[in-house]
Amino acid sequence: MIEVENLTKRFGEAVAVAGVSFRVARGELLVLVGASGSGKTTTLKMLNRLIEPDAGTVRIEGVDAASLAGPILRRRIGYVFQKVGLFPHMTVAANIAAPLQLLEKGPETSPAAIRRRVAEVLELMALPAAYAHRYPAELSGGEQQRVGVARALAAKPRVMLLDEPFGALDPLTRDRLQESFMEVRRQLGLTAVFVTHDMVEALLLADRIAVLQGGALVQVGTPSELLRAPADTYVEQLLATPRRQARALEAALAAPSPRPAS
Amino acid sequence: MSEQLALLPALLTAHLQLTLSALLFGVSISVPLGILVSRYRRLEAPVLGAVGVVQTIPGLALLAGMVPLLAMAGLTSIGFLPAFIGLLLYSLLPMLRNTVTGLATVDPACIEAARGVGMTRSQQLLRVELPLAMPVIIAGVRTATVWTVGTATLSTPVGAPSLGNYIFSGLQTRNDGAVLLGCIACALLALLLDGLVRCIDIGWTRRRRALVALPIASFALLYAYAGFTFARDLRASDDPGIRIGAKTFTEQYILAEILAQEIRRATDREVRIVQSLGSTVAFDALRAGEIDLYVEYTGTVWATLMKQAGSPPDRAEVGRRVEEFLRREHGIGVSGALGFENAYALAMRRERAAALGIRRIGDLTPIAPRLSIGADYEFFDRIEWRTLRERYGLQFASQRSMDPSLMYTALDQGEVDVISAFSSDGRIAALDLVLLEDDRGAVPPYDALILTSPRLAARAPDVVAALGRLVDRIDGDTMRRMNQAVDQDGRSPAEVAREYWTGRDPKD
Repeated sequence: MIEVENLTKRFGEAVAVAGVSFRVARGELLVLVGASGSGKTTTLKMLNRLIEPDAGTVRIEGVDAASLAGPILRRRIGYVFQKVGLFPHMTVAANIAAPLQLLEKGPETSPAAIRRRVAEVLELMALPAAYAHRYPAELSGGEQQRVGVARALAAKPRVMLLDEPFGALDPLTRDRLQESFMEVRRQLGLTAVFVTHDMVEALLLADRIAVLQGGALVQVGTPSELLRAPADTYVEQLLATPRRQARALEAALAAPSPRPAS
Repeated sequence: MSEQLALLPALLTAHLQLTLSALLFGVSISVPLGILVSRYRRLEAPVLGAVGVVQTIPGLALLAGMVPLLAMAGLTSIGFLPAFIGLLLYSLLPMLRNTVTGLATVDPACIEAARGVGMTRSQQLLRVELPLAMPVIIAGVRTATVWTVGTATLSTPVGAPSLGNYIFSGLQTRNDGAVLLGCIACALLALLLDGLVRCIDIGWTRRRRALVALPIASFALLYAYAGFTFARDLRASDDPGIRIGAKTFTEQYILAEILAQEIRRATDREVRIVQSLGSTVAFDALRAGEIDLYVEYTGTVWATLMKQAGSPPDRAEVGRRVEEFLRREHGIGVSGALGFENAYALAMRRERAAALGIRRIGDLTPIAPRLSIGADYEFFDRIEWRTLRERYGLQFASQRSMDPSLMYTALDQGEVDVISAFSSDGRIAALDLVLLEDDRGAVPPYDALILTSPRLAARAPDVVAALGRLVDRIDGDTMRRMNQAVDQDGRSPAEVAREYWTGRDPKD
């Protein structure tokens, strides 16, 4: 569970995030949407203190995020971002093991346990076991991001943060990865915050959507709440594109198709 | 040549000690400094600027400059220490700059991912940033390695033996074989060390452990060898024996050998020659007791140290005043004059001088604006030259500084018309040169004196007694012949010195 209260960040004179508050229930996926500069990524990065908030509180599983050292806080939160950020000098296995090796010594950090866990998450993300010994540069973009998600899952986090994780992938690969991720999330009961500027992706994945504009929260609600009752014209505009696409798709499906000559 | 080859193990070892220690300390300073600078960007400009300025100082000046600095700090000012510090400073820039560049070019996405998975700053550095910057850092180490091996040859003039001994003494004594040997040994050493570092680089980028382990093991062996020999030398130097300094010209090499052979014969003491010292380095080293004796010339002390312009009342008077000055101001002893003079004298080819009708320096005055003069590196900055110019109103068309050994060739081939010759040089006779008479007394006498360090008399009275037996034993003709035997006939200074003693009874 994530509780965010009055979260604020300024960069110099500019206010990036202005007093944002929301809650994400256990097992829920909240999508943060908004245009570039709306403060969605800054908000996300303040949750695990990759960016330090100027004001406000974040509680994760009831623990005040500010009470822990940044690295300690981040070790139990899975984090995936658009640029993937795999370590090019490490094998896939070493990349996935990296968060585990940061944990305190214990049964789950023995070499054998780490090998087992690497195999588990590779399988979870539908990656061949043989990939363990490859280097990131030898994988396709989609495979790399699967490893990125696998790495985020390695330390068995209860909470996942995803910063436009599939934004740079081609539509087909993106679709498959979205599906894999949703499957894993349901299986593990992960609480997740997901940033995207793609409203269609938001509508497909979200339990609830939080719309940000100019650093302020405009509306939080389920996809159907947003579609039925947009809070203002901005939210309405955001939803206009997916509506139009859906109508165009339906029209295309309804159109009579010529019988194939036999 | 076999005499030269016999020196190779010792010189190569000394060269290796200097290079490896300077590189080890260089890496240990520049990489952490580079990391610091990367963390605190405000430091980048001043730190890289300062290290860059060090790099612009010519290598020889940097090493020689360490001597007075260390002396001021009351530390050993000649030998290993100034060479080591100079080389260390010289090695910093490529490694520092490449560390900063290497760290700056790490993909920001990797750094964010490292933070994202919960690495602390030092974990980010050790596990992600440094490994990714490593190829660039290693490239810097390679550059520094090659530079340091080359620059270490300049350790010779500050009293640290190195492969430069071959090059400096070989150039002065016209021993091309020695110069070549020094250069080849140096190049091979540079290739070897660079090859080892390159091997680490390849192993690292291709992720082949063996390719990394092998050169690292080789380096460990080389360091063990250098460390072991260094420790052994250090223990041996508890009683350093008697150290004789020699400046960078033939006569000094021969005299040092003559003195060494006599002291060995008379006292059974260990004697070591510290050769190819810079002119002021030799004096500073003597004053500080880091060498025990060397041969200096009255006129040099008179002009350079006592800052006296022009010729004094008479030759004996100069000797007395110089001796008194050295004892009073520096506590330096004078064992006595060897019996010959090696003066700065303007020289010309005989036929050219005859054609122009020149016998005395004064005859040069009206035609100097049509002539060119060549001299060793220091002559044009010396008081003697200033006094000559003032007394005779000399104004040459061009002045060219060059290596003393090349100066004679330049005169012989007509590249210059006049040179600042050394009066005891064998080449004066060999090339049929004439020395122009100093009729207005601008140049002081240059009697060769044996100077001894302030402590020598108390530490080794037997040595001082042995030196006393050399007083007035070498006349001008003998010295010229010996110089010629080395410079013209290609004999080694040690050999010529041995011949000096054969057939003589040193006790007479």
